Parts: sequence; structure tokens; C-alpha cells
Amino acid sequence: MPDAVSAVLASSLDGLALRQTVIADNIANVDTPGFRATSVDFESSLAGALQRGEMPASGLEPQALPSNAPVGPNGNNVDLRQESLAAIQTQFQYQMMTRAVTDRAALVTTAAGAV
Amino acid sequence: MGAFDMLRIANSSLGMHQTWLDALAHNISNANTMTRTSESAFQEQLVVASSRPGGGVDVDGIELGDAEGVLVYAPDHPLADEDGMVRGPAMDMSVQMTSLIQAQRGFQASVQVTKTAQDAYSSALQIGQGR
Repeated sequence: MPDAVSAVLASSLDGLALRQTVIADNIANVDTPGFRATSVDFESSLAGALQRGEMPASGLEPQALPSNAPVGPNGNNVDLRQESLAAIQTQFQYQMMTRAVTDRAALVTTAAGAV
Repeated sequence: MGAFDMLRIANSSLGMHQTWLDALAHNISNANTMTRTSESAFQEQLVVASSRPGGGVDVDGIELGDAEGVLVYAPDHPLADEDGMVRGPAMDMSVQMTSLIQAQRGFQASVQVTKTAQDAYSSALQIGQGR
């Protein structure tokens, strides 16, 4: 029975995990002719759901959308620098969220009196 | 200020220096490009950058150098006019080469900033982890 906070944390972890997969896919195809990069934006839909107070208990499904970055001469629009830095940032965000999950679990355990 | 501003700012710097390096590579590769005297000379690319208000740097645009160039006497050149003249770029190679070093060092410095940022974020994640 997931509560709202757990659903938010899970949605965030799902979004970040998908973003890492998408970045790996983009970097793997950095030289593939005609390849279009994709990106993940789960933050805006998560913020929207929170603002409306309509957080589904199962969390939100993150989605990968094609990026509209300028396309190079071989039809590829992967920006390696952008992707590398996004990979670093996503990794730290993921670590932050796992830390949040751990700390929340500790809080629940304390509240339950099972210290 | 966002949580990952240090990375964002370093990213803008890497982008600007990449543009600058690309422009310098373009200039140096065309250092010996001659044109007809009736046409304009190869114009060097000059990257114009400005600081971003929220932190970081932006490429405002790429200006072009002198179109006049310099007239070179090369009667055997296929593009030479009846006086044996062709037009070459009015570009100082020593300026291009020193700029190349500057741009490369700027890029390297920005890479170092991303590494330092990663160390800082790693340390921040350790706060309260007294185990």
C-alpha cells in the first residue's frame, strides 16, 4: 500500500533511471547517421500532479521524447558534451533520491517504534 | 540558483570553448586558401562571447574578419588574374595559434570544474552519513 511520498520518490527514481537509459542510448548512437536523440522530462508532469494534488498511488510513468536539438550533416543530433554532463547530473540526482528513500525508510522504522 | 549550477555553468563554458576551437580550426585550415582578386578573401571567424546573467557564458555570434585580404603575386596559380595576383586571407597565424592554446586551456579548465563539481556533490551526499 504505497503512500503519496513513496509514490513521488518512486516516480522520481523511475524517471531518473529512464533518463540514464536514454542518455546511454544517445551516447551509444553518437555516430549513427540519422539518429535522433531522445530526452526524458518527468519533472514537469510530477510537479503538475503534485500541484493538482492528483498523485496516482502507482506513481507516474516517465516518457522519452525526441529532442529538437539542431541536426548535423549526417542527420544525427546527439550532443556528446550535453549527454555526458546530463549523465553526471542524473547520477547524482539518483544518489540523492536513493538517499531520500533510505532516510524515509529509517524515519518510518523509527516512527513504528522498531528502533 | 539550481542544485547543479556548477555543472550547468561549466557546460556553457565547454560549449563556448568548443565553438571557439571549431572556429580556430576552420581559420587555420583556410590559412592558405586563395581566391580570385574579383572575389572577397577568406574571412576568419571571430567568436563573440558574453557572460550569462544567471552564471555561465553564451556565444553571441560569429563575426567575420577582413574581406579585403592581402594580394599575393602568384602567376602560376590557377586563380591568378592577368597581373598574376590572387587574394589571400588577411589573418595572423601567430594570433590563431595563441588563441588555439587559450581556447584549449579554457576547455581543459572547464573539464576540471566539472570534476571539482562532482567531488563537491559527492561530499554533499555524505552529509549526515556518520557511519
